[in-house]
Amino acid sequence: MTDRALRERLAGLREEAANEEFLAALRLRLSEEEPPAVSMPWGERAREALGRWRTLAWPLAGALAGVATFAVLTLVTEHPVAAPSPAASPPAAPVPALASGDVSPRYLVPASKVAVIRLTFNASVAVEGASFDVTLPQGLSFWSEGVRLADRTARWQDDLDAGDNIVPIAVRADRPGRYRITARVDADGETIEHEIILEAEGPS
Amino acid sequence: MGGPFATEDLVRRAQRGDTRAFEMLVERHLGQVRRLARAFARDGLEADDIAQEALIKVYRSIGRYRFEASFSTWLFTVIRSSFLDARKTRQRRERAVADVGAPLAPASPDEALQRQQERQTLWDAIAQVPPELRTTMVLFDVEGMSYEEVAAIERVPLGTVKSRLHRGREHLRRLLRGTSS
Repeated sequence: MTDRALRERLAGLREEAANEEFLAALRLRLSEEEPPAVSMPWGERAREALGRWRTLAWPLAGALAGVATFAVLTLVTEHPVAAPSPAASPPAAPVPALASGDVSPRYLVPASKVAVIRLTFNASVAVEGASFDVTLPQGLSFWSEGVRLADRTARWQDDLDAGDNIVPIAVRADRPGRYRITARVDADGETIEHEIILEAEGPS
Repeated sequence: MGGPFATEDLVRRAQRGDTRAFEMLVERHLGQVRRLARAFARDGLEADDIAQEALIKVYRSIGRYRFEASFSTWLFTVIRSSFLDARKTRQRRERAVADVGAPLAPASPDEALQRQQERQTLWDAIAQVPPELRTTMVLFDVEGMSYEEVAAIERVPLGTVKSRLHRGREHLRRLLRGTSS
């Protein structure tokens, strides 16, 4: 058999079979699966947890640069308490632990327009596998690429780099008012929860 | 880029656990996946079993896809690896069964049936080609992928793809001569 004849026979195997049954079986298997474990660069991961809004977020972030929109959740190092000593003891090896940071920072945003809130998670040391959770109240929604997202809670897991880890979140208020956003981070069995107040003003 | 059904968007949704997005992603490649599976199975049913298994592995590991290669390249890299694993597992289980490529019963006068039997014979022969040569041959000769695509999936140089193709075809020719004699 010539090379050409063999290749023709092989190409003849390329027939399309009906895939419906196969897909139905696959769907059943997938329904039993846990969501896939995701390992992405941290900023990207956080953005993906919020949907497809990233292309919208950055231009808006620029436009809203004048609006001070920072919430700070701080991960600080807790130093284990050594034997009591009047002298200040040198810090031990850093152990990541959660502690309170600034509480209830306020944001002033125009109502009925998408605004970008930048959450800054500051970690004194890198933390692996922190869990993040941002929940919006009724009347406030996440936005992505001009589309309102149905979920009002965004959850994701990722590592924190040492230093600032900034997560921009695009939100929109339906009408003027005062809204409380809850942002939570869990790491090493500890949790810190903050409320961020968003004041939406202007015409509804 | 863009649009609710763009590959990148579907991948990102699948990474967030959206199984419907995952289905849409793999649906585009289902024919190729099932045919490649066929080269590692004794029949269509077994092929579908290992194809399902491989796709579940793809779903579980889709979080590791970083958009560095095209999605189809990454998909077939995972699929190929899964099939190679499945083959090893089956080999361990069924060492005694070595007669996979036995000649089939004489062809029926019915043309469709005869064609089906020819295909079966060909698949059976392909299943006996060494696995590295087999995947190269199926991806290139059956699926019509380019040298570059196959090289990316198998993570080997172009020259290796060409050499595997040559050796694979030689091997297959010998097997087919055996079944037709």
